[in-house]
Amino acid sequence: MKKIIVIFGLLIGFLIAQKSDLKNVKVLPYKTKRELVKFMKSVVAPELGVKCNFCHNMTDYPSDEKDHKKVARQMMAMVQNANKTMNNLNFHEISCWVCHRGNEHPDHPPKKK
Amino acid sequence: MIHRLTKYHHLLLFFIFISTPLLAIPRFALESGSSCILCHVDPSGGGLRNDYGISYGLDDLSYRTPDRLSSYSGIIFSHFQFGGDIRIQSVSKQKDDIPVGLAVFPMQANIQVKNEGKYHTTLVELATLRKDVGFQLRVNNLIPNGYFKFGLSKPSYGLKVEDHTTFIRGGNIQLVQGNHREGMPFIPTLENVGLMELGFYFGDTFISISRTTDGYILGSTETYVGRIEHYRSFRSFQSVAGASFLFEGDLQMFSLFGGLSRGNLSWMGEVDVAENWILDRSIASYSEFTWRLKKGLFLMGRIDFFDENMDFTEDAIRRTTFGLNYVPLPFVDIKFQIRSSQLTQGKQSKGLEFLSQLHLWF
Repeated sequence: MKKIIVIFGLLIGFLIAQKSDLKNVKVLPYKTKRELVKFMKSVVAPELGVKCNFCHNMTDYPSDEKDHKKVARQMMAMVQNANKTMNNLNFHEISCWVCHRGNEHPDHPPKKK
Repeated sequence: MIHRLTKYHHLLLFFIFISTPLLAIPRFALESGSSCILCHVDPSGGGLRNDYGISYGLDDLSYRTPDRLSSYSGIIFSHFQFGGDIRIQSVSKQKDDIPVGLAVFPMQANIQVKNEGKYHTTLVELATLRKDVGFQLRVNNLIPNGYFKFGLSKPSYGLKVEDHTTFIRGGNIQLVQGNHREGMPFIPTLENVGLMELGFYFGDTFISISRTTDGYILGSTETYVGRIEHYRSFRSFQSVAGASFLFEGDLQMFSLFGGLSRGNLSWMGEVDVAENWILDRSIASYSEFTWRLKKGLFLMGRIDFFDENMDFTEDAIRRTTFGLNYVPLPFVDIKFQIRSSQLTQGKQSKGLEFLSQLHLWF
């Protein structure tokens, strides 16, 4: 019985398996999961003081179902744009830390217009 | 001659029984402030690591990472991830309380293969030493922020610590106190059973409920297992607290577990109570401190306790363990431990035991 279940499972796996490459990455420039995970682990999570589940569905990382992930994507695009300007002005690159300082929300958010 | 045969018999039984199932290192979950699924493919922990787990092993765990390993992903044929755990252990052989040699034996040789699609994750495990197979198909998006898993596997109960000789797991295979059993029922020879499991993530809380098709421990009726854990960060502390239950016929088990970590120091503990496991009510506890001396080098101290009838004065065992854990390279984990057991009723203990273990994973 066990053998039948395992063979059946393997067959299902073969039939519906997908390539194990990056999915739903729209803003970040990374080509491999390893590079992406390293960036998230060493930059995004500590600079925002959050854990993965703040933005991600833990059983489906590529999913956009959490609003925090959509906001994070916009923030990253904003930082990339800012860094283009910074590079032109010969300034150091900036990251989430510049505003967030290890907090989910910056202590001093921009004043409302 | 008879005496020799008996000794070899014990040794042989020890080798056979000690082939370990997939187990996790809950301390890493505590220090990362997330449940097992952060690093492992199986939400219950143990076995094949996911992208984060591999990255954690390469960047955060080992003393150094050679350049040639830094891009390792475990992916083969672009559709499948392949991995494994191999453990080789040595235990000192005693003669009148004095170590006279080492018994070296393979403890675990598991191979795992994973593939995933948009809505599913498939995981196959081959436990080659126990000749057991495991299979699980996880449907990811059926439940918001949760999963439904079924296949041949083991239900998740308590802290699934990687050392199966702790009393909260399987305890002593070779009895030292002369009890009926010396540990809780989770011995390494428990086979995978038909399992259905629902899991939910509510922020930093993880809940799983599972039901087996056959008896998991006694083999009699179906088993129901539930588990809840909650992670919390405050100031520079990480903490976890949780509880679990297991019902299988007359056998009823409850556990409370928790942990606290700050900087390089971590503590984890668990208390288990089992009704009708041996004699009425049995209790086991586990308390472990770990100190990270430097990257890849850890010191640990642990106290395990077990009493088969919960009167604390008869048939109780307390075991004290000190150990060193060295991770020189990614995928290589070396452990050294010294253990001593204290028995009630003035019984003579076995003296000091020396253990070492080489754990290779990929």
